[in-house]
Amino acid sequence: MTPGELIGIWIAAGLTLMMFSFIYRDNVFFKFGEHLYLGVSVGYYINIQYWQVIVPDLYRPVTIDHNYWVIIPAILGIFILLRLVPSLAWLSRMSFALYIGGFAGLAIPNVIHSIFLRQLSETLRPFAGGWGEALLTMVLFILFFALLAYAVSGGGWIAAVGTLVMFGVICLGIWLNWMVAIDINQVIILLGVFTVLIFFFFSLEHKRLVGGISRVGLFFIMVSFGASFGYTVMARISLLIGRFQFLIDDWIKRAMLGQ
Amino acid sequence: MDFVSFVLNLDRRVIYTIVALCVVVPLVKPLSLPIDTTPEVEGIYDVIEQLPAGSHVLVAGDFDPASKPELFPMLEAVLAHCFEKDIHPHLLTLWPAGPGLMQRAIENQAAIYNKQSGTDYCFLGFRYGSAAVVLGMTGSVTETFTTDFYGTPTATMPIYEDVHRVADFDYIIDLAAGATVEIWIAYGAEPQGVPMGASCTAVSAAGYYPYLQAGQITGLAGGMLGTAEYEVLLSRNYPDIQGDKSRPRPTGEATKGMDAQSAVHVFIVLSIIVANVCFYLSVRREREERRKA
Repeated sequence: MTPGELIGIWIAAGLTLMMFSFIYRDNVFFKFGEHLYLGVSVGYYINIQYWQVIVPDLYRPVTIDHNYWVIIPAILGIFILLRLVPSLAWLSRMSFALYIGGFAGLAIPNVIHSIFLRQLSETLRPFAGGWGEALLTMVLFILFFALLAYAVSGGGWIAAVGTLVMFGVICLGIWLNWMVAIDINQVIILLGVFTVLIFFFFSLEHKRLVGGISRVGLFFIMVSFGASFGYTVMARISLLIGRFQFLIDDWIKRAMLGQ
Repeated sequence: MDFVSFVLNLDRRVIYTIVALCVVVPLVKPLSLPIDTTPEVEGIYDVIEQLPAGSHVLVAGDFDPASKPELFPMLEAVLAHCFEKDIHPHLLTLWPAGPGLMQRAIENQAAIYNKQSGTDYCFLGFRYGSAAVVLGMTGSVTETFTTDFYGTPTATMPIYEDVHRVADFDYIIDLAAGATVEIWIAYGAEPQGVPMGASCTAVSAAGYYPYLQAGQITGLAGGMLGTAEYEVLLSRNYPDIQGDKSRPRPTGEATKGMDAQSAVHVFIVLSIIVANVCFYLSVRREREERRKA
């Protein structure tokens, strides 16, 4: 291990412990580490921007290739910075207009084609065989879940009987092949998309059937939040594991014990 | 103080200490818990495994040191897999703080497999602009990245004799700590018809499942678990480096970390159950006391 590497490990270990000290309570070591991190990050990013953007895209083209066209975007970039000068802030509008307009022109066709339409078509994929059967399947499933939610949330015996009748109709539909032979996961996805959209549709009062549908949507949202929360816990613990791996393997074993 | 009050008034620092112990103990004394592989991760592994030697894989390492424990081992595993099969990885990053980690990964793996820059692999480095970079690469890789990370002109590199634009790559894999997967799908893989895989931090994994179900990505490795699965697949199929029995493949960092991950998760699940039961009992007790009063 080189002396530089050894010093680096000790500094990193010290800063890691400073950050961990916040778990006990806010203190001067944590503040020092926090401010140092911020300062180093800003310095690093400025350095990267200078060497990766300004030098190869502006300085070299102008001084070596004598390509003076690159001065135009450079001026537009300076206009954006002029937002800091109130009397000249209006100049930034030109840069923003060009940037937003240009990027929207590039982004909209790609995003519509590659993300929006593709996701839409894949959401409806199981129903591509026949729209009549597909629509019937979708409506029956949505009505079933909405009535179920309405019955559970105190809709009374009419809603409960309605749920049972709807369940019977679905079973009959499947038995008599009225309904499309479908992948149940795709039905759940479609059901989730529809009911969550209804949950966020506030032009109708969320009562009775609409209330039931939005409750199903709420259930899907909660499942989604639960999955995200579980993954977030895993991500945060992964970061903690990464720090402890560094402290145990690099700091204690390599730097202190020389293993 | 009874147990219910003790639990509900527990100092958070006690919980932090137990979490720390759950991490440290398995790291010092590994439990070697089994790691099962899932179809999501196999969806990436299998595509790379089926590529013939000499294929070109675009590896976008769009993360920085903040996501190192989750994505850096994945980057090393993917590069090792490519080199093991004589596939040419083209590594780049759209994140300004990424090049240091990318450099370390590619140089480590190139040294292990004795691969040459410009011939066997290329480290393109960082270019500012995210979507603009991807769009530029759909036109020309060597014009978007005129030099590699080390300043060598890309246009004269042998590795770019057959590869000119994104459409010429056989596979794209994005290791993302942010929203770059959507960028690669929208501007690179989907319009150019190149199959793509994604590895991401666990935080964003749930959000990428729609792309997996739609077939827009062949596989998804989410967080440290996804990385550990990839390491397990690689170790299972290639236990030794380039078949050399004297060079066994070392256990991956993510695999090592999964024991700690499991221990902490068990503790968190138990804590949630115990705390909820105690909370329920305390509410019931309060209600009874109020009724008596």
